[in-house]
Parts: sequence; C-alpha cells; structure tokens
Amino acid sequence: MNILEVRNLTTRFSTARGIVRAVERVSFHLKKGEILGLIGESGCGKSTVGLSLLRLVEPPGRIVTGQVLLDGVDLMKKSESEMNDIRWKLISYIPQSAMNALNPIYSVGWQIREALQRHEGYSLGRARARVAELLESVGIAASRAGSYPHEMSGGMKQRAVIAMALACSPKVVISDEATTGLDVMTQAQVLHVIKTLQSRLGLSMLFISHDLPLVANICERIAIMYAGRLVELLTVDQLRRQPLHPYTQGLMSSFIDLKAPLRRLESIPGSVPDLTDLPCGCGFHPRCCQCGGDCCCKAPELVEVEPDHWVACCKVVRE
Amino acid sequence: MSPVKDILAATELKKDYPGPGRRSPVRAVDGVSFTVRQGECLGLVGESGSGKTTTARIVVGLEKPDSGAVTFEGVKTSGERHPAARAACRRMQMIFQDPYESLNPGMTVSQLVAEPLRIQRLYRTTGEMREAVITSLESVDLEPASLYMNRHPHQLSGGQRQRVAIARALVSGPSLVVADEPTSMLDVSVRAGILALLSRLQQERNLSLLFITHDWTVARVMCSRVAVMYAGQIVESGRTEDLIADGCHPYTRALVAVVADLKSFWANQAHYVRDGQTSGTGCLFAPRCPRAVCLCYKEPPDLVHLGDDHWVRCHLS
Repeated sequence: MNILEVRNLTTRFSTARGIVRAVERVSFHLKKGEILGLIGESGCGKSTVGLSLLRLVEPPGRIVTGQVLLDGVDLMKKSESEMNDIRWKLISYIPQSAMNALNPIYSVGWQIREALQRHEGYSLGRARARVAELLESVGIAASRAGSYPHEMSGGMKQRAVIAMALACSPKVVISDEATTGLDVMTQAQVLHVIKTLQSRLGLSMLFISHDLPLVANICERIAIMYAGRLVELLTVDQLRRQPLHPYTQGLMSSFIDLKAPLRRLESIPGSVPDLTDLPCGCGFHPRCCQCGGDCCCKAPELVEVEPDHWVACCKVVRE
Repeated sequence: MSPVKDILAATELKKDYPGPGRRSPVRAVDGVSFTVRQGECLGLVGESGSGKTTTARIVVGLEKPDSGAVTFEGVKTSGERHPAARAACRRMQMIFQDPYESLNPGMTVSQLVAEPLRIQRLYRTTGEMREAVITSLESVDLEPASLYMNRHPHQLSGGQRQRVAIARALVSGPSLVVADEPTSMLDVSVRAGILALLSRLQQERNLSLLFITHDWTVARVMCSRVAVMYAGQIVESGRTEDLIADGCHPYTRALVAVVADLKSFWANQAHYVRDGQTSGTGCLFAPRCPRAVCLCYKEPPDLVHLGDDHWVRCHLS
C-alpha cells in the first residue's frame, strides 16, 4: 500500500538570474512502513522536493503543478490552515542541520511538549509522559527532558529532533540530511535509532541524503535525482547488482569500499549544471560517457525496465 | 631501497585554548609527534574536535605551539622568526577545507594564484609571473588558463575553486603541502577528480603531503601511512592498509568498522564502543572503550612500537 504518492511534482523559483527549475515532473511513491532514500548532489533539487511535499516552499519559489497524495488525499488542494494541522500531525519534517533547529532558550522537553499541546490538545501531565516516552524511544534518558540544547551533544540534539518529529505519530516523516555533519560514530548511532523506530513503529520515511552507500544501509528502495529530475528509482539489491543510469553508475564508482580491494577512484567529468541554464535534452548528457544519438535533444522519461526498477535514460531505452 | 629522509618532524606538540568563561583550558593538541617522509602522503585521521586541524595549523606556522617543535627540512620553524626559518616556512603551503571561504571573493583567479609569488617576490617581470600562473592553472587541469584567469571565485564551481586553491598552493614550488580536508565540502562526483589530481601532482613533483581527513575511504586512496587522532593525541599510526585490515587500538577498529560495514557495526556495537565522556586521568579513550580494565583508568598509556611503522597507544595491545 502506498502511503504517499507524488505525481509530476514541479517546483520553480523565479529569480533575477532566470527561472530555477529545481524540481521537474518528479513522480514516486512511498510504501507504508518503508524508508525511501532520495539521493543527489548539492543543488539537484532534493531538498526542494522535501519542502514541496510539506508545501513549505517560500517565494520566489512556487509549486507549479503536481499532486501529493497522502493516504489518497491531495495536499495541494488543502488550504493553508488545513496544512497547518496536517504538518507535524500527519507529515513531519527533520530539517537539515537539525542540531541548529532547536530553540536555545527552551528546554528540549518543553519544545517537544509544545507540539503535543498545540496539535493534540494534550494536558500538561499527559504531554510530559509522552515526552518521556519519546525521548526513551530515541535513546535519551527521560530525565534529560529538562536539559537545554547547549547541554546536549550533537548526536543527542539530533535524536531529540527526531523524537520531536515523531511526537504526533505522523504517517510520513521527511528527513532532510538528518545525519550530515555528524561524526561517523554519532551518525551510526542516529541511523540505528531511525532503523529501529522504522521496524518498531512501522515508520514511513523519505530519507534525503547525498551519501549513497550510507543510505543503502537503511533503505529498501532508492531514488536518484540529478538536475531537478529523477533519473533512476531502484531497490538496494538492484543498485548493488546493476544500476542502469550512467549517473548512478558514476556515483557508485565515486565511493570507496573499505572491504573491497583498493581500486582506482573514478570521477564524473564536469560539474553539476546550473538549474537556471539546464542543458537541453537529457540533463546529464554533457557529463555522460555513454552519450549519443538523441541524448542531447530528447529529455528521457522514467521507464520501468523490470519490476520496481525505473530509469530515465535514452540509451537504456534504445537498447 | 635507499632510506627515505624525513622532511618534516613534529615533536611533542602541545596546544591549549582558553576554555569558555572561567572553565579550564581545552587541550586541543596533547603531545603529538610524527614525521612526514620525502614524497609520501601521511594522513591524520580523526573525528571533529580530535585536534587534527590545530596540528596542521601548527605545522605551517599559523598557530604557535605551547610546547614542542616543528622541524622542517632540518630547520626548526615553530615560533622562530630568523631568516632561515622564514625561508623554510615558504616551502610549506596549505590547502584549506572550504574553497567557498578560503578564496578572496574580490580577487580574480589570476590575482589569487599570483599572490604567493608576489608576497615571496618569486618573479622578475610581470610576464614571468603571468607565465607561472598559467602553468600552475594548467597543471590543475583548468585549461585553457585564459578562460579562468579573469573570473572571480563566485563564477566557479566548488571543484574548480578547490583547483584554484591547489594551483595557488603549488605555484611557489613548495616541497610540503598540508591539505586540511580538501574534499569534504565537495560533491562526491567531483571529489574523486580532486583526489586524483593531488595524487598525480604528488608523484610528478615528489611532493610530501600531510593530509587531514575524517574519512577513512579518502585516507585509503590518498595516504600510504596514517596517524589516528583521538582527543588531541595520536592513538595509533601505521600503514593505511594495515590499520584498515587489522588496527590494534579499539578506537581505530571502531572507526574502520563503522565505515566498512554499518550493519555489522550495529549488530556488534557493544563490542566496539560505548557511551562515555572523554575525561580524567589514564587513557583518554577508556570511558568509551568496551575493553577497558582498571589500569586504563589509572595510567595513561604510551605509544608502543609494534614493528615496522606500526605504533599504538593502548595498554591492551
């Protein structure tokens, strides 16, 4: 069952430099109880996808078209006040650098309680009990509810923000680079918390990140984004066995495996294109070593090549 | 094999920073010693706050150590101002972490690359300087150089900026380059290109590199030897492949395990590391070490030589 369905989502920013095509006709679905990884490099539009789902894109940004179906209900048709009730309660958000997302002058417990009292109308006592339960679930002692953010380590703050996102038992959680900037050990710990919560609470999550090998540890399926478009959507198994899009292949070989024998490190030539001035045709073709034929004039559509494996590449479709 | 000479020796470097308010000082670097050999790349690996950047800054003379000494090409350079020390310092250059911060936005690429030449008065005519700038830009694959020379940093991508930073570091012909996390701010698809470039330049010019990184995978590609830092100390050093395959210090093992296979790290987490605050007497890692015994909390361990280039600071090895 799909808890979240995104169809043809398109978000653009009108700036002095021109129209930034941050998200172009992105479609995917999130199954109930699944973690879907959304992977891309900086400036590929992955964070804008997350914000668009919550309708939190700020001007000059605008969601141009698209449907976001949460349990069959289109969020794009909701009024702003209805969205205020939906955010946090039905769909919540773990922001990038969550370490700085906490208010320094309130205790962590107070900040989590605020959401419960505002959205769920909890009494103080009941909210306190729930906060204790939430903190325990992310591995923080309930007695730390009175602590202020500066009294916590980076990893603890990060876990507190996760607890906060889970406060109202949302149907979907969107996590935007939730572990970026943490040390590897702390990162491992935070990911473990997320993975445990997923299996225990049946959490459905969109996990936005730039770190492909890391995400392969916690997801079943992965969506790869490049220059505002989804280029490949596949399971972790398929990713390990045979990724088809040249960009996915390039990304895979840009990472080093500590267990495998040492090999030459490959890089993708060129750099990520400017979203105001995208190459015509396939956005990746100027950097693609397998480019040919109609790659430079026709933008490829996502095509299902085997069950659960979608790819947008002219060459793959040709063959 | 002829013995390779040490180009840089750091001995017992110590550096304290004043703590916030009236709190006790923070010991950023706590008795760090290492050597870099001619033409090799030594990695300093550690998590944030382990003192690796402070060590790098002491080496190039951006910070003065509280005690200890840096000897470069046979000349003591730390805290010295005599002409020989200054001349030696010029033969060290640094590449900084963030190319978005390290390049002056008001200068053009050619001004940026020419700046070390100007400061060190390494040219006779402007034509000569221009020539040196072009050669340097082309050596970092910014070709044709004329396309980039009049641009400002904001007109370049992150990878191109870091290439400019490398060209700037190499233009004066240094023999040692200290690279502080040169790829951590870059996208993965460009990262490999920068690492390959640094490796190539290192070999072509027989450069020595001190490479600071938190990423074991980067250390594996770049460095022949690594030193692992924890809380201002080197806890283990040795050949990169040896430490990855079979590190002795519990901290090294945990750091490698978490990167090599996250799932098995989760499964055996208690085996690798536990929660605890670095503090007190004894081994600094003891409060987080799952194997710590009484001795570990009492006596600080010394670096012990295990053979070849392998050193470890642990009572249990």
